[in-house]
Amino acid sequence: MIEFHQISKKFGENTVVRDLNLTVTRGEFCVLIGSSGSGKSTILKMINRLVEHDTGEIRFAGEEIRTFPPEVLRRRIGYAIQSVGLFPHWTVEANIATVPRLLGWAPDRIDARIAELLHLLNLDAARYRKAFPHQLSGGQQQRVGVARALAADPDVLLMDEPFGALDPITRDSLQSEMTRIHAETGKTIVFVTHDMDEALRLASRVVILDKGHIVQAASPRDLLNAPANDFVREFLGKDDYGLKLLSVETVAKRMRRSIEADGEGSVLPEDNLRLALSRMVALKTDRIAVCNALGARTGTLFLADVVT
Amino acid sequence: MIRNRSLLFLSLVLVLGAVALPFLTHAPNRLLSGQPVALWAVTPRATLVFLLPGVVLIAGPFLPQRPRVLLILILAAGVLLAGLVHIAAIGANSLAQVAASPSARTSFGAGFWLMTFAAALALADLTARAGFGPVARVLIGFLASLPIGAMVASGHLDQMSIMKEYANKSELFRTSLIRHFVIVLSALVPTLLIGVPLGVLAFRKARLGRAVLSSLSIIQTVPSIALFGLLMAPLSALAVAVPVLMAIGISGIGLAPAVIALTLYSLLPIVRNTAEGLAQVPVSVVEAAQGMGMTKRQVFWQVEVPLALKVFLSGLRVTVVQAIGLAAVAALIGAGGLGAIMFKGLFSNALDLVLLGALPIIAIAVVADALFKLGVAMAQKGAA
Repeated sequence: MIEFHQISKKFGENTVVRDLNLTVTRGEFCVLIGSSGSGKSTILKMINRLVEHDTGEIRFAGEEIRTFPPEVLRRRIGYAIQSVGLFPHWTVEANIATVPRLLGWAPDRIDARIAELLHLLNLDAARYRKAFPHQLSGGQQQRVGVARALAADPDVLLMDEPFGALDPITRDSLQSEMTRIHAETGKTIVFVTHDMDEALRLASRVVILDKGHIVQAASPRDLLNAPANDFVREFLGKDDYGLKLLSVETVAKRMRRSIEADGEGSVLPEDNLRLALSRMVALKTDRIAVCNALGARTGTLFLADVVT
Repeated sequence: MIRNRSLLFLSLVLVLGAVALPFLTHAPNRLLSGQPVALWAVTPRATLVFLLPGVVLIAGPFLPQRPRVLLILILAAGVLLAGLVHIAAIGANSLAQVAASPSARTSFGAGFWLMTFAAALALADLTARAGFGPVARVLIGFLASLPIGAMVASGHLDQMSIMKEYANKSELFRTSLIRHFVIVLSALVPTLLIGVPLGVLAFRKARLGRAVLSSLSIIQTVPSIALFGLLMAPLSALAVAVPVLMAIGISGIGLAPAVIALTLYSLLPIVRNTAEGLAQVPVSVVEAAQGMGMTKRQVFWQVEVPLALKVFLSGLRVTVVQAIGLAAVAALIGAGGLGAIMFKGLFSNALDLVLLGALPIIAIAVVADALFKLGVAMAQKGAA
């Protein structure tokens, strides 16, 4: 979907991206992560030409991005940023309608699309359609920001630290929403963050960047199981490394089919092991029942199997 | 227990004006200086009942400043304003009967002005305290001035000296008033045509912007009479050299130098607020607009302009109010306008003629100011 070929970018004397090669495939949730100055935001903004690359080639849907006029390219790419950037003088619905309007959609089609997106983002249409951004909480504003980015059903969604300014609870719920939206829409998403937990939670592939080049690009599980070097290990964290490992494995992988545990607690097969461990510690037990979404017992998870 | 210090101060001013200063002055004709007439000497005495709202105002500082109390005080200040004018009119009418000479003159005295001033300030202070929005405040101001306007229009004030001056010079007044508007509006057109693009340019090119703004600031410091004078020589030379210019009425005196000088003064607030308005549009909003795929023109018209409008309108407000005042000085170089009446009164020592020129200038400036505040409030609502 998006291919970077030998991309370099300098700001003055300062090289921010160096010989970058990266391919983002269709439907991938690609998270770019690195400390500040790693070039992650620059790389993201090169995709919709808010930043122009110096050398190399960037292809979007097979075509070099410079063959598109920037406006045409940008209307095909959803864009959400940390400070949200909602238009303060427009209502929620006018904000969401931005790109469809630019594309000249018919009013009733725009209207239907707004309703659909408010529903997708769990925003009450009756309450928020006519509201102005300053009447919304930070989390609601970012929901509108994501809805606006998705409005014209773009091929690709670019998100530049969209949840960085939110409180942990709001961030957590928006992260779940993103996972759900990605699963439901199958969009290609390129997402920039500096939060490793967020990256591991959302990504189908994590790209770790340092000083403008890729240190490692791998799925969360491969990253945790085989960090390429000390820099990556450092980035993954020392103290809670084990917990991160658990967070990318599901209960289904380690559970046994025997039904032995009793007591009140239970986990779902698709829950991650980190959650299961937390629940076992809280219940002071070394085994916990596994039930499916309908509540039927399907097996048992043992502490010994979690830690080995 | 004092609950409103500013109202207490204004009440004291009110009492001082009522007790210590003449409410009216009365002279046998316009050239002689008048004899003071105290408020208590105004006949018939029953008219003084209109001072009652003043008593309410004086009690105001000691009352709890609850919304209902404030509303009553606002009403009292409004009624007092109209009442003061009414008392003056009644007083002038009875003095006219006693004097029985058409050349006798009754003018507002220092006490009247001080009390009116205090009542108007109290009205403004109380409406602000009561937490009214800009729209409501403009409306209250309008309602308060309505009875005074009605008294002027109905001829109730015809025995006041200022209205006698008006009666003598109504034709001159009418043309001067129109001329005043013409001067201000003709300066406003080039100001906007030059100032807005210059402001946009100043925003986009920071270094150029600083240069432009500092030169405009220097112009702003030149006293207006000096600037009018400075323009006379080059313009008359130009008019002599280029006959076409003289044919369309450009010369060293009159409208042309007035409009040029006013434009030069007006540019600073327009350029500065245009640039500032654009500068305070959040970067993230502009970046989002670009990222959504708006063209440069769409970003400018759909995002930057509406978000800069409020600051721009406050600049335009300053410009217009300033131009209305400065246009008075332009009378000195023969541009006409209400300033001409003012200076005529000043040079012939006829104070009421000065007022006939000055009061409408103040009124127009106040109305323009209120209208722009209304506009800013509405722009803010849109951009909130």
